[in-house]
Amino acid sequence: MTFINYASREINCKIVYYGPGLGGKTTNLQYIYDTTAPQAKGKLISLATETDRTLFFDFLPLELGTVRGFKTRFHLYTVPGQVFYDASRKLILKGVDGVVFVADSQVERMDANIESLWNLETNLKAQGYDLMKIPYVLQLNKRDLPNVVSVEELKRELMRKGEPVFEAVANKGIGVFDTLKAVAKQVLVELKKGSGG
Amino acid sequence: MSIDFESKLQQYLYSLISTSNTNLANTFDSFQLTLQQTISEAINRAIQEGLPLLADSVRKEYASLPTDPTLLAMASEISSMLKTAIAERDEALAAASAAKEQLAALTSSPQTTSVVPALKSAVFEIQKHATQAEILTSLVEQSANFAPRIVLFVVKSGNAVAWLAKGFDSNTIGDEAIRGKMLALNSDTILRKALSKQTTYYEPPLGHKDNKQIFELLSSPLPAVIAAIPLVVRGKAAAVLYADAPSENLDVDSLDILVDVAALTIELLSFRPKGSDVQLGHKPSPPGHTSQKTQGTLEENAIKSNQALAKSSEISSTESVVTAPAPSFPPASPTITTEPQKGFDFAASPAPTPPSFSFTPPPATEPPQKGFDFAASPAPTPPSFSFTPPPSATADPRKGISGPTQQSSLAFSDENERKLHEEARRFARLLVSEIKLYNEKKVEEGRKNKDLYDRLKEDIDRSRQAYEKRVNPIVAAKFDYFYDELLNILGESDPSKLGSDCPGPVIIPLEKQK
Repeated sequence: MTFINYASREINCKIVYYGPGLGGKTTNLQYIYDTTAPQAKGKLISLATETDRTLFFDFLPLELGTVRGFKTRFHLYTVPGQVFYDASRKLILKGVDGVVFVADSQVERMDANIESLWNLETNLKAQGYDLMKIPYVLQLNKRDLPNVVSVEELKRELMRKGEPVFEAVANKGIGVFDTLKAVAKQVLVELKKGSGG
Repeated sequence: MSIDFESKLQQYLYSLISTSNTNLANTFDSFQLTLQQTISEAINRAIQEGLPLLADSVRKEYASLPTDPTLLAMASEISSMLKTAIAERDEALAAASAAKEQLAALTSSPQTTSVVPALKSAVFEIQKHATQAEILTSLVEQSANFAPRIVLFVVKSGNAVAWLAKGFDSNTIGDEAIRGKMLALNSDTILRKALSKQTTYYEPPLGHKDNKQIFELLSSPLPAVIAAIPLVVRGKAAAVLYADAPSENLDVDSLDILVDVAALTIELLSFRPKGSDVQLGHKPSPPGHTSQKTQGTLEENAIKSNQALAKSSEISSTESVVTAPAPSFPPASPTITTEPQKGFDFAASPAPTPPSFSFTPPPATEPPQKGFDFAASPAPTPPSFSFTPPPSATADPRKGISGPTQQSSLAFSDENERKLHEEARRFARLLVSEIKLYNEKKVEEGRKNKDLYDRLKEDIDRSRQAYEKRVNPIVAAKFDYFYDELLNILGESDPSKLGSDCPGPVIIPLEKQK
């Protein structure tokens, strides 16, 4: 849930990058962190295993300018993708304002994409959210690899509601900011609706 | 002559009186008979047609009766008795009807029909966990199905410390904000009473004079009812489950059962042999291990589970990062005792009595399939189901593990079951392929050294837990896809690569899952 601090005139929104393990969620955040001006970002906090796999989450606070005199800060989170870390994912989804689903385009990860998307829907529901109503963007990552599923097929399998879809190669930054901008825009539209105007 | 006349007159008079008496008696008998018939018919009619018709009937019948005051008085008395009897009968009928309606409502109510399955499922969920923290977390999660708001308080240094909450509106306080909050146990609250008496209490919100402290702590308006259920482990009330509801519908009986199950599960942790931690008693014991090894394994499990808890990537790490620090829990050691400052304060509890039973692992020479004898397991499914036992390789004690199970001979009762099996296969494949994906180096080394399970134990055990949580009991009763994928993907179809400690396939008969 968007947190508005009237005293300091700040709006804090939470965006969660969801998706199957090793799909590129952390890479998205890392690229955003690496290419954002120092004054606009906080520390990138990662709780990872010894092999740099996300253990709990990554967290990156990011300032995206001012909305009606309120400084807008986005908190970007990732979840651990491995199937058995479900409890962590549930917790990280608490208070979410927008979700980016980072799908792995490789053929052999199609099952993992479907499982993760199903898991997202289930966990959102458990927290009282509805994927059909929440700001949501689908990113098709790893488009540069040879063994990828076609965009059409990925869309057919993974699209839920006519959400914006972006092809991406996160480690090269392709599609990363387009994805972020699209979800941020939806969150701000929701915020505007919520504030009555 | 005069005497003769007098005598005849007397006889005549006697005969006249006698006739009159007989007539009078006959008249009275006839009246009584009529009255009885009238009453009897009226009652019958009343039973058939209800009171209004009865009243009419009685009125009509009475209209034809003699007008003698004595008889009328008697009739009036009888009428009054009749009315009372009918009123009582109606009352009884109304009560019976209400009871019947209530019963019908209850039997048709989804709540009633769902309570038993829901309770069964909750009990199953709680029992399958292998550490105290997991069991208690599961207790809170499952209890939330029976009460809108739940808080588990643990006893620590004379305080009740909120360990986990569920159901609190995030717009007011939220579950996370409650964790770690403390309530002194010297005040007169339902929590103290439940803990000191080791009895469940269920009362209005202000049933104890300091209960308001609870609502202050929970930043909550007064609920309609509250309950406190002590969790008693080894005779000591170590925690108390608090529940409340805005209406008077609080399923305290179910909560009571769940708390008891959690307490028993915690007590029994120490007696679980290796490999049975996430099973309901049907996971095969790794064959070839000795009694000493079992002891070692139990301790090892306890230490590992505690370490895992401390640095945990799941619930506990979440607790430490996202929320106020919550009390940690003691290791799931065989004795359950722990340091006093941690979680449950078992320190003061009496030394645990030696267990009344002992776990005897199968002797080293015992054939490995003994622990999961498919043939001995009662057939859980219709006769159409057939299962081909594992090939003879399973009996090879050298490997200490089961060989591949065979799915090819499985018969499914219908299309739906076939889909369930497909889903289980897909999920198992995903879990195992992720183990491989995340641990490529370890997998290579494990294959070479034939100790994949030892190297990847944590990931394999967690994945198995996820598999068992998800897989449909009908599938679990027939085939272990997780083991099958483990063998195919990681072990490259060679059971020896998994290592001698790797548990074999697990088939859980349906009746064991209930």
